Amino acid sequence: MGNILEVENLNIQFRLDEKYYTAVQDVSFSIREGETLGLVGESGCGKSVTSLSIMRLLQPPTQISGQIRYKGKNLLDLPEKQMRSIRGNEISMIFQEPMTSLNPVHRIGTQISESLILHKDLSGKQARQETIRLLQSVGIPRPEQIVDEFPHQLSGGMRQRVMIAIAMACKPQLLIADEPTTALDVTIQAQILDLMRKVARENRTSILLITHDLGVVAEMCDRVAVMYAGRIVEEGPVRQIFRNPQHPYTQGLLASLPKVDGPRTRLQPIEGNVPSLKNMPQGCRFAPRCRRAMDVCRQRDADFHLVEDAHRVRCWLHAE
Amino acid sequence: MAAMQFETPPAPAAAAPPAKPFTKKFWKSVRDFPMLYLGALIIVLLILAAVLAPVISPHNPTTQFSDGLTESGIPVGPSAKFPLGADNLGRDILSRVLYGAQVSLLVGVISTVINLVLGVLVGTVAGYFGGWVDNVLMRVTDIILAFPLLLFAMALVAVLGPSLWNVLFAIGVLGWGTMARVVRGQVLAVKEFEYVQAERALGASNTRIMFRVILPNIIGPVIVLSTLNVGQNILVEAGLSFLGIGIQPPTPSWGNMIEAGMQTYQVAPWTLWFPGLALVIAVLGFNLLGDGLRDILDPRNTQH
Repeated sequence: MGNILEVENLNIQFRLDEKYYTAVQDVSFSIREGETLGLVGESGCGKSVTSLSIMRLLQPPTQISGQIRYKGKNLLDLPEKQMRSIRGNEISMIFQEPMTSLNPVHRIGTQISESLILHKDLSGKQARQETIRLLQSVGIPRPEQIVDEFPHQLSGGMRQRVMIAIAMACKPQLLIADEPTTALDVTIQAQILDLMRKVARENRTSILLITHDLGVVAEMCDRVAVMYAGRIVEEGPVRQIFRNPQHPYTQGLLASLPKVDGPRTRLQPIEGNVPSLKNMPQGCRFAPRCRRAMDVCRQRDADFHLVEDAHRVRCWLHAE
Repeated sequence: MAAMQFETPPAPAAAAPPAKPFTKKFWKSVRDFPMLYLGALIIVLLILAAVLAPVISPHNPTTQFSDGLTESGIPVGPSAKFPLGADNLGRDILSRVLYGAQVSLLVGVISTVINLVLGVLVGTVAGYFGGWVDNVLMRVTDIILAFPLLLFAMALVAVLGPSLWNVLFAIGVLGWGTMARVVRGQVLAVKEFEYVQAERALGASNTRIMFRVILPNIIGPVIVLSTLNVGQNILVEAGLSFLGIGIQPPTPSWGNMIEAGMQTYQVAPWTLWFPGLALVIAVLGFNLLGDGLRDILDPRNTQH
């Protein structure tokens, strides 16, 4: 299986008050065909920015360097017109807020059939039939009626189903889901995750799942990359990361989760806060919050070290 | 004790309320927004007057009647033959007011359509793209707004020559400033919504996002402003005609009728009153309708 997406040395800088600040630094990862990669991290660690940069949806003034190769093509070099034919067609996206990501003035059917007409050259009539089929496939009852309803007539979970239908309309190769369940009730969350897994499997779609919810990662992902303050600190297969976390940050994240089994102990928070863009620590960015920080951590950031097969970590503790 | 006897609560939302008959809904809406309906009524009457002018006018608006003037040359007052009196040349004022509605509506509506197209175009592009595009377009808008519309239109009509179409064109290409500003503001707010980003993620082009995604969401304020704008433009047309560079006599326009009325006001005040009254009522109608629409379209107003 080949890689559908390869991100290499991605750097993203924002301009604030006439100066550029690095929001994402030296991020590299890849997603294989049919694979689900989780991108995990706290708010503001650069995961959403990374996903938007893949779609080239970041607004200037922003500087992006590195490579984002989709099927071997560097998306950062594509002219806007070609990029438009990829968006929604080969790579599509699901957003966090189902309540606001549908246009309130257009009917559900119009919004779904739009990308079919745009990318697949379907006629209005064909698109309508395909839309009803799509609504059915995402588990929406009475699709023939819902198709003519407006977003405000649907609940949050239903709207997220509609968003999935829109995203999957053109059977994309890659689906980027930016916190797709954060705004939903827990019971609905599970349904939506199941649905995403089902439609992705049916269409052999790879998923880049952006989340801060490790539970979601455990349920959905094949591999996971943990981001902290704009860098990937640990990456590997989900099982290994959960069973054998190596980076102190990953360990902290897992320790701060409540466990269903085992002895009841106090949850351990990670002390301190995520550093701000304007005030990045030197060396390893986690060092100020790390209990095992050494002198070298505060001077230089570590490189990746291989822990096990395909499991790598960016930490001095693992340097030979 | 009593508190323990819970009655089955009335199920209000469960069953769909029986559909109210249309007439009942209509009268409730009239009670809620009386000014809106008054404005609408005035405009409907105005349109009827303009369209039916050839049928309902008692006389030809340009015919000068010898019995329209007294022997000393003073216009005769309201009478059976001239319901609203005659003007300084012995023409029937009622007929001229009715025909004047044609001019006012024509100029008011068409120039507003031109305002609308230009204002929405400039405002949307400026608000959507931002940056230097916004800067350039908004400075042009500022310049347009810096001149009094009447004065600006006077200059343009003076160059083009006075005619109905030139007046209409001048008001149309000069009066879009407010529209552009309002639209830009709305676009700035709407373009930050997530569904705009989502649309972009679907591969929609900028043009599509501007006019298919954002524009339908700001249509409310645009409609309100356009309605108010019609009244405004009718006034400007009257002003131009009053100053003699708008609609040229003998074609009746409320503006040039008022101007003519000024000369005979001392001896025959109705020559001034009736065209003036028509103008006030027409503009009032559009203003009431515009304000009423604003109330109805205001999302904070939950009455409907």
